[in-house]
Amino acid sequence: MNRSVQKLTRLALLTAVALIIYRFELLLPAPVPVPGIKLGLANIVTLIVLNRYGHRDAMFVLFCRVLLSFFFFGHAISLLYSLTGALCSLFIMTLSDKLLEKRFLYLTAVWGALSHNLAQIAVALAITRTIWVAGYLPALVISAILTGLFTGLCAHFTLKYLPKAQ
Amino acid sequence: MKKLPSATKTAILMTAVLILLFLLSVLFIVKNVWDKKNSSKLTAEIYQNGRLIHTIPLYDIGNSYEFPVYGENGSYNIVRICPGSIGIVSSSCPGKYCIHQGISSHLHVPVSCLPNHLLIRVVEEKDLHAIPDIDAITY
Repeated sequence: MNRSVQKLTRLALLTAVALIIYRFELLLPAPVPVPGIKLGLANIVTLIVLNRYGHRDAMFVLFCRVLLSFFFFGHAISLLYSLTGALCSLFIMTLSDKLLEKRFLYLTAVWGALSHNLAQIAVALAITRTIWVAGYLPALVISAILTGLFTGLCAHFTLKYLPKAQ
Repeated sequence: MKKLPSATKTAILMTAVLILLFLLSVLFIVKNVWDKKNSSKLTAEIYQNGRLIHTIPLYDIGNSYEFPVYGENGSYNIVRICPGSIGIVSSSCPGKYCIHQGISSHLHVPVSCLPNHLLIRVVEEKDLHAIPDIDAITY
């Protein structure tokens, strides 16, 4: 098969996987009563694409997933939150992945989760126009570090078993 | 000693920073719980779009009561005042995260309904806003 078609198919499949993971995660109840705390499992796919294919393809997959999930499951306000968090997160993860020379994927994942949450707090600050929303930060930082570690390890081990392109 | 690759050095530095951030956050939460134990008179402040619209004492409350806060485009939140705590029990927002936050008496963690631009914070008397942004006399 033509290599670019093979790559496009793989990326499309990964986008679909990310979308499904995202949908299932919406079913999970929030463990802590702080808005924005979640596992962020769909980020596993973003990490895989970033590490294996590079940041341009990762951006493509991420954009498609965020837009599609908004069309299928979202509400008006969530698109702003999702896109902001996603873009910041991807930018920081690209930097981190470069600095770490594609190793230590779990650290990249943690930075991705942290920047995602920080970006969402920034949006919340702008929307509520108060600084008191920053009171959620400690819980969000702890959650980001723990969930980032988990998703990073998932991505790391998935990459070991994902067949490379011929 | 064998020189470490730069990626490993970066990883060690990053891990140190993350551990520091983690510990700082845990400290904040511990401080929050500690403050809650030692606080006396609590007051709630309700902000809409950044403007203080209600200041409600949470002490010397007999029975709990509820009242609505209306926002733009027909949005609303029903706020419940209990002795020493406050929370949102009903809302027009789609996600209902505000209701999940429950009835809170936390000092530093607010209760908020972001789609409705609402934020509620619980403060001790000394941290009260001196002057609300809209004053009935000057308006």
